Amino acid sequence: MRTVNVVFAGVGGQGVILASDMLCALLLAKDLDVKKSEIRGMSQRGGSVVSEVRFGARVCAPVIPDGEIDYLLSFDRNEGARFRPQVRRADGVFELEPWELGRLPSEKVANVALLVKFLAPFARPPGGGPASPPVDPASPRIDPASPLTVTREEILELVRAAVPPKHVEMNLATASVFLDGP
Amino acid sequence: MLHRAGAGLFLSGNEAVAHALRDAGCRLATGYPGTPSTEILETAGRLGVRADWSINEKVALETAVGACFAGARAAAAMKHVGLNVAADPLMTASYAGVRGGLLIVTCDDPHAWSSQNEQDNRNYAPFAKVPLLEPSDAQESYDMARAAFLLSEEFDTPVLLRMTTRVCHSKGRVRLAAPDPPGPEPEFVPDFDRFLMMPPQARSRHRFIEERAVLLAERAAVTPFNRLEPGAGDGRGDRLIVTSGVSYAYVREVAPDAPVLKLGMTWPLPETLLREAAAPYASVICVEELDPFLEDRLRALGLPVVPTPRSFRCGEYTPRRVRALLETLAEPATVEPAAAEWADAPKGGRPSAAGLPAAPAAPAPPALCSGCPHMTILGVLRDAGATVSGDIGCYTLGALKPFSTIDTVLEMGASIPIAMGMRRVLPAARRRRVVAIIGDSTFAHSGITGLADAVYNGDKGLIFLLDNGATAMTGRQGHPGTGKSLEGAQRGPGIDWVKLAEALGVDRTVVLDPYDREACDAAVRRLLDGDDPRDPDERRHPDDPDGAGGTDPDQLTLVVLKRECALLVPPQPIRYRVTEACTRCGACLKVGCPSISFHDEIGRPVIDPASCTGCGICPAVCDDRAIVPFDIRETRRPGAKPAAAAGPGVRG
Repeated sequence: MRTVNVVFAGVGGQGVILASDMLCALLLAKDLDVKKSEIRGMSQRGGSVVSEVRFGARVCAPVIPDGEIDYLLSFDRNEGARFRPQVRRADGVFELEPWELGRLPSEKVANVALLVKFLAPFARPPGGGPASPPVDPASPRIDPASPLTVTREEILELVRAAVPPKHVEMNLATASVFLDGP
Repeated sequence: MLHRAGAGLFLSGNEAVAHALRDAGCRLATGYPGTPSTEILETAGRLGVRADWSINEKVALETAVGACFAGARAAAAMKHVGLNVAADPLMTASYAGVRGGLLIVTCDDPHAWSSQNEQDNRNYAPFAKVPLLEPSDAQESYDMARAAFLLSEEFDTPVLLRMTTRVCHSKGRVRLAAPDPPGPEPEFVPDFDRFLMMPPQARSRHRFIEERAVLLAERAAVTPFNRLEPGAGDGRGDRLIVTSGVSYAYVREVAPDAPVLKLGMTWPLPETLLREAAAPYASVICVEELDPFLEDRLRALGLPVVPTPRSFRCGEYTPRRVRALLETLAEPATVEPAAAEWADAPKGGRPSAAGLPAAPAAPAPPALCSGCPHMTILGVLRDAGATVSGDIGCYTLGALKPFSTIDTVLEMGASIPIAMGMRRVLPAARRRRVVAIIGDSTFAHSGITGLADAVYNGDKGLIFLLDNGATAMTGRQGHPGTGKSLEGAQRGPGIDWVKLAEALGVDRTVVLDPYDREACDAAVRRLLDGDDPRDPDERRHPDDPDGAGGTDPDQLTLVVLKRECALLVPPQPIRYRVTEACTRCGACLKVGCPSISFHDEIGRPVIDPASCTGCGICPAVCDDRAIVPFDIRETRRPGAKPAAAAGPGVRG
């Protein structure tokens, strides 16, 4: 299994690091080798925050070699744009559309919303069964055998465990919208 | 968020070191916050180790040495430039040796992600003659920090653990080892020959540490941290790669089958091991970030080292740069040195991705926060045309637009001496516009001595102390001015800066509220220009009842701008918005607040109501009175209209 590379790109205060921590928690539970690296020295001041997550059988470097990004989660249009040229496939870029952002109950849940939007295509329907096939059957992006394959319950549990207690309800409701549709 | 990761934990290098401190029974950990080192102490404190922020790194190391002399295991952690501050105790602590194990962690910052330089602190190991360990990932950070205490006690020496930003902040699985049994109860037993470093003792101990280095080199030859990983035998046996730190991970990424000598203990180097490892190979290639630390030493041993181009000494390595380095060194004859010399050297930002289309955007720059009290003085000094000697902290951003206020920044605490150095040589007419600004934590760290020196040498002029009650840049830690400990407990009363300045003999102190732009403006004008057009009665200021300020600029004045960091205060319900009275003069945009931006469609500046803190700095600069307050609670009532003219947020 080759190493899979995911970039989370945003700015300070968006919860970028929490979102990448959540993905790591999911992968670690599957007993994969996971490495995560981030630059956040300036994040206190609203500067760029980039978190790189790599997983596979054995991961060496903590940073992603140029041009080898499999998935880009863009939390900020400008920050995401910096990494687009390095994404292997155009359909590997995930971001919230303006209408999706507009429907969120608060800006605070945008990080969880984008992570769940990214994971949703890998989610098996309730009761087991195979993950839903990609919209374009020719697209190999969503591989049912991918280590990212999760159950809906796993995603909700991930949210429950990661966010502060007082925001759990709001985040779970947001996650459900991205898993089940509005 | 510490994850359980099957067997072991998912930890950053910094968190792994903190776990090692706990498991090694370290009784005291000290340091001063600084990226990328900060989380070591913060995590150690959470894990129950006594962890204290010190006033600066020199005091941190001296305190740790005290604990070590008293028989306890102790550690001091700091960023690379912090070790410069602590270099004085480091050099002689090496002579004195240890009683409890002493670990010194230096977190270097290749690429200077959050630092003023890219210095390679491995050079401190041979300089101070202390053993050097270089972890390449989080697991090794844990293992080496644990081993460092044993090494320290066995060889009677402090041990230097050298991390880099990528090791500090990269997470991986870490298996913890069984904790050490608790050491003996600390007790200070005097040792005249070691703990009193006077000339005869120093001469005697110098001989000891030279002999110690020989013994340490023998250990370096057998430690599992130094290991030869033979290649896959695919005919690439003509060259051996010698590497250390995170560079090892990059080598394995791009050359998984190459023969590698992986060094974890890099000073003193084991000569015999190096010679034996290199013997079967035609050449040796060193892959190491920053200085040619290994390369120079291997060459001195007479090994056939291929020289690394100088461009590779700058900046951080990436898998791409290591691949480029290996390719360059594979066929050195084909490379025109002059042409290729700097082709791969990083410039700004992240090293560019060769062969890929250029990314259309630059990384988001850091900015001051909404409601930051620093905005006022940075704007006032800009408008006053002052020459500003700055220091290290959030306010260093005052060097950038829209301020361009700060003219010099060197290192922690330099602001006052640099301003006074300028003043001592500049002609009188130019001298009076030279001022210093320094934050409260930096003032405590190493600014106080500069102020005392100014008093001593009869310097005059203006010093602005930006007192926001926090070490804000690194995450709002406490410091001696706040009296708050690492855990946030009120451990002492906090130093009163005004009383301190008066005790030192500063001519005059003035306390201002930086949210009061008019008062700050008037005070700076009065103190800097002495040309206040108002009559003397009107000119009198509550803090300056004799009105002498405007006519006597030749005083040493400390202006304390006192207002808590905006991130420590909950936002107020009263916010501001821009009305149609706006004449688009742009004055509010020059305030430097990230909540204010020009909205193309509305045709005037807008204030993001969500991030506005209601500080009131921007209405004070609006001559049109177009910036007016409103109550955000009213806009949130059901059926209420959204904040007028709010428009989308800054980052839409």
